[in-house]
Formats: sequence, C-alpha cells, structure tokens
Amino acid sequence: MVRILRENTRGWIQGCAAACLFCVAVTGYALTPMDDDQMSEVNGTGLAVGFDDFDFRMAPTSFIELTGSEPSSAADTAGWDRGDARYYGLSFTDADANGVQWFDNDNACGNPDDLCALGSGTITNFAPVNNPYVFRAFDNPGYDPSGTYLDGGSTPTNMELVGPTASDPWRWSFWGELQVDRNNQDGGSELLQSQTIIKGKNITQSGDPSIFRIFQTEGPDETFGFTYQSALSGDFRFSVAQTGSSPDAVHEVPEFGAQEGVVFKNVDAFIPLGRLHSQFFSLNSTSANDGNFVIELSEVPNSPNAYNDIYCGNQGSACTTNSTASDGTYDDTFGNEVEVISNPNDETHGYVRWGNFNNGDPNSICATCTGNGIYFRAPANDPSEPGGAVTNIGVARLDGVLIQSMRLETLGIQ
Amino acid sequence: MAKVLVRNMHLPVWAMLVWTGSVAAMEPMEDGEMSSVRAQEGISIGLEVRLNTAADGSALDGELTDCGTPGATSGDFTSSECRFALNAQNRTNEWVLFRGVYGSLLINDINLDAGILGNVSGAPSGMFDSARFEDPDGDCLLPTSCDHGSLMDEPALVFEYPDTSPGYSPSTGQSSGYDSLEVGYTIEETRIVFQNNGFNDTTTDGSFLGLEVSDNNAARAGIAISGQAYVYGF
Repeated sequence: MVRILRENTRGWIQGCAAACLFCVAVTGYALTPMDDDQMSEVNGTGLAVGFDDFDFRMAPTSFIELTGSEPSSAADTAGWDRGDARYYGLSFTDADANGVQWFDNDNACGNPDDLCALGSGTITNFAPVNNPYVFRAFDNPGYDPSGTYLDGGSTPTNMELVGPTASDPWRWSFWGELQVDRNNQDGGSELLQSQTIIKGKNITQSGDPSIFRIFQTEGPDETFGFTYQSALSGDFRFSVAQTGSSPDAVHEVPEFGAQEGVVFKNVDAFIPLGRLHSQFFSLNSTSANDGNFVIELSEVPNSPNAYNDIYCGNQGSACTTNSTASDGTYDDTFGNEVEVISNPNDETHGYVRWGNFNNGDPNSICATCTGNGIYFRAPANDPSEPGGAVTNIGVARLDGVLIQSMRLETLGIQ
Repeated sequence: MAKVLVRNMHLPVWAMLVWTGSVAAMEPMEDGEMSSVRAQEGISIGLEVRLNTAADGSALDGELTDCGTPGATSGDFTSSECRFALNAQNRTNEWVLFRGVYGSLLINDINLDAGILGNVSGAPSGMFDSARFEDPDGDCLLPTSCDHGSLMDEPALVFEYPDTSPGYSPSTGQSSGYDSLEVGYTIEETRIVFQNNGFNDTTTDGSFLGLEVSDNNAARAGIAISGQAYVYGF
C-alpha cells in the first residue's frame, strides 16, 4: 500500500509538472499500471480487528424477534397458527467465576461450574490483537468443479473472515421466548421460555478457527457462493425450569433455576461446509418460480482431481486406500471387505464430540458427576438449594463427517 | 506528523513556479506547538442514523405508505414503500425483496483514538499466530516481520467504549444503563420475487420471515459495551 502511494503519487506529480511546463504529453511520467511483480510486493490485503477487555450485553428486556407470517388458507385449515420467536439479552461476557442471572444483577447463581447466564466482568482476550479477526482478500488456490487446479493469475479472488485461533474462553448467552400455542387453543401458558448458555470459544480444542468465505463460483452457472467452517469448544447448557418467584409471563424476564437443565461438558465441534473452489453454497430458485427458494451445498464434483482433493487432500493423484481383509488392521467381524481411505483430509472432515474421551475411561463415566459428558440436572426441590439430582449419560462423538451434498428447499410460501 | 510530510513531499516544478511564497510556510511544528493541538487524546463520537423512522424510533406511517402498519389484510405489507431488494449475479429477474423496513441506530458515546498495539493489557505472546498475517504462499504481509514483538510496535485505530454498569430491576421490569448502543430495526416481510424489476413488486403477497430488534419498554434495544477494538491493516 505504501509503495503504491509513493510511486504513483510521485509519477502523478511529476507528470503534471511536465505537462504544465511543456504542454505536451510525456508518456514517461504518465500514470502506468503496475506489473505483477510490483503488485506482489504490495500489502493491504488484510484488515485486522482485535477486541481487548471486551464485553457486549443486550438488556434482558431487549430482543431480536423472528416473526412468522399469517398461514396460507390450506395451512390455516390444517390448524396451523402463526408463531413468533424472541431471543432476549444476547450477551458476550467473561467466563470467570461469580456469574449472575438475567433476573437480577445481584442474583448470583452458584459455583463456577453451574454455567450461569452472565459473567460479571470483561473478557481480557476476546480476540487478542496479536490473533485478531482478520478480513482478507486472497487468491486461495484450489480445484474448480471440472478438476482444473486454479493457482496464480487464474485464481478467483475470495474474501474471507477468519476468527482467532487463540483466545480466552467467554460466555455466550441469551434467553428465549417461543409462542407454542398462539391462540391458546388447548389452555396453558402459550409460550416456552428457555435460556441457552455456552462457555467456551469459537475455536476447536486443536486450534482450528471459524472461517467464512465469499466468492464467485466456478462452473457453468457462475453466481454468488460461500463456504463456512464452524468451530466451537466448551460447555453448553439449555434450561427451562423457573423458580417459584419467577413471573412466568410473556415478555417478562424469568428467573431460571440456577442449575437445572441439560448440560454438555467438554464439547469440541468442527464442521467444514464447502471447499474452495470445488464445493460451495449457492442460492437458487425452484422450478415453479412460486416464491420458494433453494439453499444448496453443491455436490462433491464427479471429477477425480476435485474429489481426491476433498477426500484425502491429494493433488492430482488417487487416494491411498486400505482393505480391511488384506491388511488386517480393521476388525472384520461382519465379513465385509471394505476399502477405506488411509489418510482422510482433515480440512474437509468434521466432527462433534460431546464430552472428553481422554478424561478417564469413556465407558465408565460417573452417573451422578458433572465434570464431563452429557448430563441432566433436575430442578431443586428445596428453593434454597441450587439444583436437584444429576443423571449423567456419558460421552458421545461423531467423527469423519463430510457432507457430500445438501439441499434446503422451502415449500410453504404461496 | 508535519515534519514527515515536508520531507517526503515531491513538489512539482510548476508548483514551485507559481507557489514560491507558500513553500516557506510549510515548516515543521515544534513540540510546544504540537502540545496545543486539540484532539490529541482522541475524539468522542455520537451518531444517530434513522431509516424510515421518526425521532422516537417509530415507523413513518402516514408519510410513507404502510411502512410499519399492515394494509387491509392483517400482516400484509405488500404495498409498503419502505423496501429494499437483493439480486445476485446470474440470477436474472430473481429478487430477495424486503418490505416494511424501518429502523434507527444510536451510538451515544464512543471514543476514537490512535494507539500502539503494545499498549493493550492482554494479547500475551503465546497467543500470537503468524499464519494470520501471511499470504497463501506463506509470505509475511506485516511491514517488518511476522513475530509478536514486531507486531506490537504497529499503530492501530482504537475504538473505545467506556465501562458501563447496566442492570435490571424485577420490581419495575425496566433495564437501565444499556445505552452504549441503541438499535431498533424491523423487516415486516421477506420473500422471493421472480420478475423484471422485482424490487418494485406490489402485487405478490406472502413472506417466509420477518425480523424485529427492539425492547419491551422502548422502540430500540439497549446494548452495553465495554472495552477497546483495535483496527489495523497489513
């Protein structure tokens, strides 16, 4: 950036001076385009935003509401009502001890392991200035859907927002209000109030960040496309039970039980969706052109270069595979001879792990413990107690996830 | 700042000819003179942006047709003139149309300053990741080198929100102190329209989603923010 400014500014000034003095065009001093070598020395490809001692608290009475629409006549006949959902108090606060509830900022919710709704201070390293959010314009190489490797000048530019790869843990929370019986046809309270709390970071335990990329797609139907890599690690709690002093009324801030709910401890999740430039999300219309629409993650291309890159990261060669029968490294209990990829591409295969499998024997999780795995805690029988009985159902995991194709089509708009 | 400017400036010849008297006026400022310059400690900014709303954050109904009030049919904002639409490349005559759009944004007090990254209280060297500042070939994009110490010498634009002490009173049902940022925003209807100039469609009704950002007791949601955001390029 600095180099461009200096050289072009000097050329412009000198060109103007020469033109004024001699009243002729002097091409040697005119504006000239920079060649690739000069451009390659130019920076200015990225913008960094770091957050220091940061917190963000929406008032517990302030909300983001997703509003439905009146049902069509057919849906109305079938008994459907309009439903709205409100999300109150979206907050990013510190993950330290001494958290508090939405209901009253003096209302402590117990010990640090209870996943309280709000932290009481700021997050020192929400996005450290030496590991910030970066917004970059890059020509990342990759295979297009036909299997052609795009690199150098032929590579389409993509804009990417990349999250930190290291930060302090922090608390992300909101409470919600969902209309479940708008016209109160069956009696009851018409609404479900809940709170959602995550204490962790948008980074996997192994340091993979969240990445969102936008670009022009490659292939026969060029349009706007994007890919997203989701990363999350930490603890998660979802609860609905309210205390006896909670108002339990629409649009009024509830007082939730301090510890009740379903809790996932030591979650680690990595979900990559799409691969530059061969697999991507795009928006499309339906064949009926009736107002419905399609969000689609394109198929893994039927092109060896592209799918070998996606499945095993090989450039221009087939994936190495092992046979369960021939190498004897796999349990052949079911008698099937299955070819398996020896080295799957970690960048394209996701996982979700609910609980830490390396924290003791995963087959012997304590049934009443709260330090690891998935557990349910009952509301307290005695209001003076923070919570009731615990039932821990252990740890679970999903590994090697690669979405081959995904298509979401709305059908209800008429 | 002024000293650097004079030394690096390449003045054109014609400018010297017609502007000889002015060249002498470009002189570096002494430290004493610089100390009298205002805004050295940064500036404080207040900002208000309104889109189809009155000063209290309510929709401009009556002045613009059906901005925030349904038409003859409940929930129908088809004829709302408060609208915008999106159209993607190679999606001719396919529009994402937003109707009944209005909102306002208030930034009540934010400080804008300049600073050095090394001044932050956090960002320990162990959190540094050089890959964030490298191009796809692994070449460093920072002015000096890709290490923690060099980065900490870099200047940045600093946005700072003062510390806040927000709270909520169950007895009154009111929140207080959430006034760093106030946001009110409504999209009554969103739908896809398939026609030329689909952004101007006033005949096709229906919606798949609406959005509202607000507060139970006010037209705008209240948000309390503390801390600093450091913005820099590389």
